Amino acid sequence: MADPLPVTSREECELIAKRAMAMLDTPDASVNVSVYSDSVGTLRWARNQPLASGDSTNLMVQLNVRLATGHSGLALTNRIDEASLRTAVQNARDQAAIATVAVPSFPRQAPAYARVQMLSEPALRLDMPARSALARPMALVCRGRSLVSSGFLSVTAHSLFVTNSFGVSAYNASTRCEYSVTVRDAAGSASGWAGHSHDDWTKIDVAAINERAIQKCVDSAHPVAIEPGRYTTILEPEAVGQLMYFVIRAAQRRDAEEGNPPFGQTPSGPSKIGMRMLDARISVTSDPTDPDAQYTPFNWNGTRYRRVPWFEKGVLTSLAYGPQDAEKYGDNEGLEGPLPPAFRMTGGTASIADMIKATSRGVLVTHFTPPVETDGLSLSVTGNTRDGLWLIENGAISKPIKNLRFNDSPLFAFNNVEHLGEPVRVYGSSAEQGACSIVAPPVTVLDFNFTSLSDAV
Amino acid sequence: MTQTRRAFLHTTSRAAAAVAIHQRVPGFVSRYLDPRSGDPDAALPALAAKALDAARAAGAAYADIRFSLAQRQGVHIRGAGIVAAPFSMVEAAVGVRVLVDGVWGFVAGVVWSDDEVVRLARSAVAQAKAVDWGLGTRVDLTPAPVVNGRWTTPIQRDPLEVSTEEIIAHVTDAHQVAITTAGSALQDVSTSIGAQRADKTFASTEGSFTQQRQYMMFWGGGGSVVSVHSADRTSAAAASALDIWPMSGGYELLGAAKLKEQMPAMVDQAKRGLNAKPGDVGRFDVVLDARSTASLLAMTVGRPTQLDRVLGTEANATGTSFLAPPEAILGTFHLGTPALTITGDRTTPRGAATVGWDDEGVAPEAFTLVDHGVVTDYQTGREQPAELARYYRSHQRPTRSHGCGTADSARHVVMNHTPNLTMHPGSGGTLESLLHGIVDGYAFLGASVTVDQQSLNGQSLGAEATYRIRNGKLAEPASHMSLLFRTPELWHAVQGVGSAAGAVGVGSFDFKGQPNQGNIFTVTAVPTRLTNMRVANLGRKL
Repeated sequence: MADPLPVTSREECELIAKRAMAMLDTPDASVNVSVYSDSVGTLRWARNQPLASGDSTNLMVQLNVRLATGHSGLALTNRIDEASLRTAVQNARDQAAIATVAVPSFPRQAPAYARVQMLSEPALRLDMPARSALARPMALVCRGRSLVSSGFLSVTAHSLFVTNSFGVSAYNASTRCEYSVTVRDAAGSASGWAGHSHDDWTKIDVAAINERAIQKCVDSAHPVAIEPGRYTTILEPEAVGQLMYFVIRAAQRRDAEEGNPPFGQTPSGPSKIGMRMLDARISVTSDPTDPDAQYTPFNWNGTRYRRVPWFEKGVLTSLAYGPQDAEKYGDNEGLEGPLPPAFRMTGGTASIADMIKATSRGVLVTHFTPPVETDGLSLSVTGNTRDGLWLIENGAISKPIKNLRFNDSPLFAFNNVEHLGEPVRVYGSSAEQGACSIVAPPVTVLDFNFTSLSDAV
Repeated sequence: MTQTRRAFLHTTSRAAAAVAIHQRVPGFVSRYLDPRSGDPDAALPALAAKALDAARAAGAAYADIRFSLAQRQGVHIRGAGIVAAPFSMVEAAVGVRVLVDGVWGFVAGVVWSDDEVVRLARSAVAQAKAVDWGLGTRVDLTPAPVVNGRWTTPIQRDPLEVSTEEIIAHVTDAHQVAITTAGSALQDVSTSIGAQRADKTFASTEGSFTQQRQYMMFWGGGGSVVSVHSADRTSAAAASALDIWPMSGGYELLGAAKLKEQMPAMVDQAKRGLNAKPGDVGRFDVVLDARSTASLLAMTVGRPTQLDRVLGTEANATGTSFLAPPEAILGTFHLGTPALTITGDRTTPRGAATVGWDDEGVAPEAFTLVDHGVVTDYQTGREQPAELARYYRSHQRPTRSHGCGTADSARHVVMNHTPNLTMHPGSGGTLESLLHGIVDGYAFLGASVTVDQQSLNGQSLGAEATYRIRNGKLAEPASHMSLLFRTPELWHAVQGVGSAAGAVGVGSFDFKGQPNQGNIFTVTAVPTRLTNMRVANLGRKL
């Protein structure tokens, strides 16, 4: 068996950091060193055959030098021999000398970081033969049924180590596992998709994902066109996560208190904290210890991530701020969520089948092309449905329909909710939104705005 | 995997610690600490040979190795000289790609050393063997000439040798114009810029060896923006500098961007934007400036003519293409009017995709994607054009890579990425002359375009400015207007194509793949006029 994915140990990171810190000879300067590494193992395939894919490793060191004036500069390098590190330290110091904005000191005391366990041993052992053994049967099944499968299996081992001149240090190792598959018919007239991600490989049910993607493709044969317009729409959890992403990304306190919508009110008034902005059944929280949406409990500056209750029962409860604004908001440390976002959105207990039964006329959505923002003030976004779209009539799926483009805002959609189902961890990975860790429910939204027909498959 | 603290604390000297960890911990960091690595750049030909020999010895019929070293600097300047977050970055990578019985293997890392490149080569072969599914399909690499040489982006001044102080002074000088011109209406003026020097080495078992030094300048997040607010501060509007970047070239590109000269127009446009109100919706004749046209081209022609999308290998990521299957499209499908001719290349001076060779060692050639409205070719690397061999033969054209095999670093696999695109100009004159004869229409300036997973249905968004056209002239500004379209109808609706004098090279960015990778390219476009287009209003109040 090939070597497991390597994980950079805390000791290795400390060695690198100490080496770099010893090179800073500017008096009264402090430095924050972050050592980030990832080892990625992938298998990508399409048209039922493997594509060029494999393993890669990287290790990045970020040096943040802060002078006595409070000005700081950054240098990043993934070459850690003596000469390269020395150059990077000098660059960071030189950049700091140019900056004119003072930043707060690096933490002088280690905060109590949340304890997380994000390293999955089975993930580390998923070498190429093992990945191949998972993907090949799916390709064979699809070939046998004249279907075309394309998929992606990825396991990544991350580690992040942070330390500074004051002796504060933190380390976390984690894995992220992803599996997604798209199944199309031979004519390219039907497409189904399913996917899942988690830090724990044992939570990824490859067989179930394969079956769901095949079924969605088969159930999408011969779609008919319906008129664009506003429809009662059941958004599967994947689509819900894609929309709620925009709400969490925009939830910044300073921006709001400068009077900017969507979370600000007047030119110089307070934010909308305390106001109900979503359906009262919806709470959204980022918590590094959430077993289905964990994240490293500190950032590259060593500031800790605390639990952030964004919305509680629909009421806007928190907006993010960095350590430099903490005092202004009556706090002694920053309140931030991770990037890419990780959060849990509550729902209800219904199954999607229940929600379909409760719908007299509507549309069922699998997911969207990653939406793009059209208006930051209302968080309006646009995207296209793909990989499975059906008409619901009289409590049952009646026929597959052609894809539609939508223009709507999660702040409208999640304020116009009929039913919510049971939340699940979604795939949550795209170039536009990054590798998110999202738990979201299926949601029945009233009057979701589909603005044009798309005959894309 | 992890050492215990006690074991670590027993070692005293750093060298001893390095050796101890190297021996006891299988983490890959230990490979960095090899004191024998020496000067990595001088050793590249020998390193490449070692890797390729190891790949062949392990059973590869073909192998290539890429080394990339990117050095990047950036800075964000606000107002009269507030400087935040200056940064520099050095990123090295090395990747080995092999073909074993027609199956790919790929492994990448960071360290340029003998042991590492041999490890990568052997591991890549093992990976290929592990994914030989025995289903009969084999990669058929299109032949390419053996090449040897060096190439550097033509530059006047290395941007990484220019002091950040000089850059800040240049930008601050431009900002001063905005500060003076906008007066009390100014909310903010900020510019975020960066420069990169990337050294790329390619070697293959076919005997090719190329070394390139590629320079570029790019905007950081947000670019260069002026924002103004109304007197009562209830509304704000912004305008940004012409987005010609990213672009390949040196520090002279900063002067060429003419930031200072643009500031008065940016302030003026932003101020006019304060008065923008939602406009009427319906069907209108529409004029697009060169930037808007470029975005349309990138999304509705650049994307769907990537051969891998056409053939379906990007299906699980960003999508496929409506310009499929090849036999129904090539030489046959009328994408638009005869006024539409679009070519691809990687040699345009200052083009963001301009290189000496692509990342498969192929010297790029210009090629025609759309010829007087008809789709005649796709973007090709070496991996897939063999599937179009019959079409090429029947048109007496060679089956070859056009040089579009690209990766954003040696860490990622080579894919079809969009090259520079050029829309051939027409005789419609300037944007102003394209307005003539339009009684009631809209002009979209600096709009972006988003499309669906096959590039078939799309809409515009985020226009810098949208104006109502009345009686052949730009009239009142309109807010949140959007052009809705279906790609073939759009390009058939072209009624006027601007003249060459109005051509602008627009820096463009796109991404694809799993893991995701980015790509930069320049789209040279002219203003265009379209008839009877659907215009909607996307503004919503919370």
